Amino acid sequence: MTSPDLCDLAISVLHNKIKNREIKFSDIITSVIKRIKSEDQKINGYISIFEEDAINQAVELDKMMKNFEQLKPLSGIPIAVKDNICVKDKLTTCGSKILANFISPYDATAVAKLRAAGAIIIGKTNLDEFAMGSSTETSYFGPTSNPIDNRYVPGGSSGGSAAVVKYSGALGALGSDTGGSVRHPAAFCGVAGLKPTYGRVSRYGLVAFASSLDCIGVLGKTVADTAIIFNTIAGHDEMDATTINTPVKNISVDSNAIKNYTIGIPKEVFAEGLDGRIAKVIDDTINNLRSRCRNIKEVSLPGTKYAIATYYLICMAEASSNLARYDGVKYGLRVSSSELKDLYARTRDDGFNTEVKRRILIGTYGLSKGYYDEYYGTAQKVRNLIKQDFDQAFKDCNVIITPTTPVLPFKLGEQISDPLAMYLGDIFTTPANLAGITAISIPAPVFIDNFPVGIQITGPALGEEQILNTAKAIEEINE
Amino acid sequence: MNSKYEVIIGLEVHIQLKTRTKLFCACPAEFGGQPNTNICPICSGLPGVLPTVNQHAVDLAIKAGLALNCQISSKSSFARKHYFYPDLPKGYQITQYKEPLTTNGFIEIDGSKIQIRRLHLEEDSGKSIHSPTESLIDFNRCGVPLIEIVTEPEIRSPVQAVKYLQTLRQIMRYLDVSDCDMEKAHFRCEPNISLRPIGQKQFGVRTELKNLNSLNSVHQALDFEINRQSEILDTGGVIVQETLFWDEQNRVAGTMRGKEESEDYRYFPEPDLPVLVLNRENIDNIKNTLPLLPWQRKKNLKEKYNLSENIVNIILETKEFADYFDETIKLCDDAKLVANWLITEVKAVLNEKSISINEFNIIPKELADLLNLLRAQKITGTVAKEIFTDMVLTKKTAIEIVNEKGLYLSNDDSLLIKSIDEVLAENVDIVAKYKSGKTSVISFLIGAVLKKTQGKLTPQKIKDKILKKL
Amino acid sequence: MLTQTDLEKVAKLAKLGLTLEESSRLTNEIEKIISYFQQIKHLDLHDVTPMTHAVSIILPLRYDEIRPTKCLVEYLSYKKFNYISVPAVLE
Repeated sequence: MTSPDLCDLAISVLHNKIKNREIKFSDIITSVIKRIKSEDQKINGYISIFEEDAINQAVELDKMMKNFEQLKPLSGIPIAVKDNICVKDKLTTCGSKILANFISPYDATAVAKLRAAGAIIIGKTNLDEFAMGSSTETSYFGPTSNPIDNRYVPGGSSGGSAAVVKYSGALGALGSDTGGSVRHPAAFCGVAGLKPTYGRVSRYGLVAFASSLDCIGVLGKTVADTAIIFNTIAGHDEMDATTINTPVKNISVDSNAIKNYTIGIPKEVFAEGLDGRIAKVIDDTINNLRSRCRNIKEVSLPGTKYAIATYYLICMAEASSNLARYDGVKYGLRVSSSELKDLYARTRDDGFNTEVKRRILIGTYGLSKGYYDEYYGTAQKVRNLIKQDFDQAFKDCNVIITPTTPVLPFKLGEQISDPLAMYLGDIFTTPANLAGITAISIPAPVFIDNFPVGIQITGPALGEEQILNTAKAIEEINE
Repeated sequence: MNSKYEVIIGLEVHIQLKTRTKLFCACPAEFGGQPNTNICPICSGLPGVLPTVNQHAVDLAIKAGLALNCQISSKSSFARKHYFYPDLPKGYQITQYKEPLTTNGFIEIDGSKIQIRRLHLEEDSGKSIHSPTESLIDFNRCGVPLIEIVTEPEIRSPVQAVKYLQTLRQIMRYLDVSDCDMEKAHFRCEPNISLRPIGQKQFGVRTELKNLNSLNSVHQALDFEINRQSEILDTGGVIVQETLFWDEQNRVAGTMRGKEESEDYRYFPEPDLPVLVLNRENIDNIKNTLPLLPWQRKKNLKEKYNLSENIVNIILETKEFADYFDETIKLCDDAKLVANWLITEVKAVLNEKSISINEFNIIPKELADLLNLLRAQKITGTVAKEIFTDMVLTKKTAIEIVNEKGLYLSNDDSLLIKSIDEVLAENVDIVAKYKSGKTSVISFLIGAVLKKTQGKLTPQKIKDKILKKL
Repeated sequence: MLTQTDLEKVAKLAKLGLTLEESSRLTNEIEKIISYFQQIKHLDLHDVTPMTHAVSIILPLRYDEIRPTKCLVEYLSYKKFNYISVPAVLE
């Protein structure tokens, strides 16, 4: 029986092998690059791959690290970064023609922290253009496909990050989550995807889509890997005025902790639109936890039904503002014109795809004179109601469990022509973004038609430890 | 001036704050180098960046607000103001909208109060150089901190408008909030003006004026616009609400070509900056650092020293000059003497050398020493002026110069008598003329004694003694 | 009801140069989406404060100390004598 490739192993296992001198850092990189070369052509998870840099860094590490007391949490571990997160002197394209040649002069804080923890940045992953989408089909660099079945979408918008983690083209990845963009592809690809509490991870260097909703999130093969990566990137940042000052506790995941937890199930979840098979998988998983946890309780989140309208009104308005800087004047694409107004109009028409244009238009409309109170203003109030729902629910439980998505992965091209249908797929994920709280998606122990089913565990603000512990407990069900 | 209409003017002033760094990033705020060398990812609007707020800018804005009698908001917030222009890299300006830092203040001018609606913080845009075929953009100035001060439309004439601006500028310089150099665009004024037929309640249509680079331009442009609007109204026409661009060369205001109809700025609260919270303590700490303002010092000077309005105004022109006066007065308490010397002798030197009082090489103590010698009648007025010139040139102190050159007035009666005797003896015919009734020749005799004694005696003393002798 | 004229006005504000075909198609799609949004207008919100920030912290202030950035202009494009050049802006 052949032993698994190094790239298929967990971070802690790899570090043990390093400490036992069974393998070198270069071996890890070699394994990952070999896997990328055999898989990425058909998956298209990566926009840029830093093969040479990665090899050089690994060789350096092998030379320098003599005793492994200097081993940092992510030493020598190749991590992929979604291409809307800045990496110094590398392309940061956001999957868009308008930034296809843009090279960032700085590292995002989260990337700098990964490096400080010893990680090797292996490449930039594909995404829906400007993180706007749920299928990673709208990128200027072509769609990404699901490693489980290439005919299907990997989910989005961090589809590239989820896919490369799934096929082991990286040992973990950073994504961004504004309405579910880390959790949704994690569910479709069968990996773990964590959206931290808003303000727990610095947004400095994350290309803004919707500033009051955006979070940098983590994708990992397992809950343990995800936790390790999260621990390194969390924390206050003086470059981001919206980061939380509470010190970061180094989380070590413990599934036994759930014996003190009450698990909340929102009664609105099992409503229309939810695929019956998914409902059953969730139900079964919860029953499996019943004996291990303190209590299972029904809670109510009545605002859920307004989450999508609220989410899209807010994110489109903020997006229309955040994307105003892409004007062809000082960087990125410029369509030559003899008049300035044409320069703007032509550059932005040529540089943005239809979904992005749609959202900019709706967002601009929602902020315009006479419409602000009706649209953006109202959405901000409903947002408060949704947050209050969670505040209330978390008085009665420690974590809330729902499906991550209402449907299973669909085929490439199947949903792209109906934007509203695409938006409705975010029904379970958007509430956590609106409330600013934390949530993780992990694969349920049961598959449907070979596809994994994403289970989402939501926790209160700064409740990452609870949801990771619960996620680990679910992960252990099949072990 | 047309007396059919009431002139209604409101002023919007932007003042650049004297901080070390820009408002939302740590680039230097004042910079005079090559284009696009004073920028960072944040102020040039690169993807992924976020603003952070400069503490000192907030402090200076509060300081300015307090000096203008404004209410300081305990909670204020920032907002985005959207429009597309090449020198605005993010496509929006971060400013304050619904919740400004300060509101409801006033400035007093000639006894009337001009109400200030608001004073808030915002970031500056870059600069452009225009030619017929292209525009060149420099982002160096992007992000520099500004305060915007908006008055109620209570100003009633161009003269009053200029007075308001002068007073505002003086206050800001006193506070060291800004140098307010109009040529460096530290201090920009955009008036809006409308005319209202006397007796009418409703305001007329107003126009806004831009590109006014000096107080003179403000005056001229307002005069121009009053004339233009009166003519239109006189002939039954209608004023169009628009922004006019002042052409300094031709002294006319024209419509700004290429500007779109009233912009929709799509203001919304800045999501990247949480609410700015100030407590009583923060504000009081800043209040305690406020220096005395010009109008307060004026009151003191007039009441304490009984100096005239004109003299006081000159002393108060700059805080530094007023401080110099205060320092000198502590050491030489003849207010009128000190004031006089400051506004004549000292000012003459400053003007001649084009320097400020800070660069003047005679410190208050040294000037006081000189003036004290004069008061004690140890030297004459003429000699004092000579010594002063010497002090400026050689940087020596008054005492040093007097000792070196032996310029002390002599109290020596014997010298006095001896000199007078000598002069009377040398000028027998003049003495005879005096005795025969021509009393005016006394000045010749006094002059002769002065010459003999080389300024060691005062004319008065000489005169007294000679008269006694004769 | 969002008309094509309304959309074209919005496109002008947002500096998006839409073709006639795009403008017509997008009007339909956007009209549907905005209709979907109407549901939140029926809620009773008179007592609710808008949630402008997802995290309840107060603004931290930055100490006024210079930290210059070198050579940022090398990452910008469309330069002429170190300025950024654009077609003439009419004034």
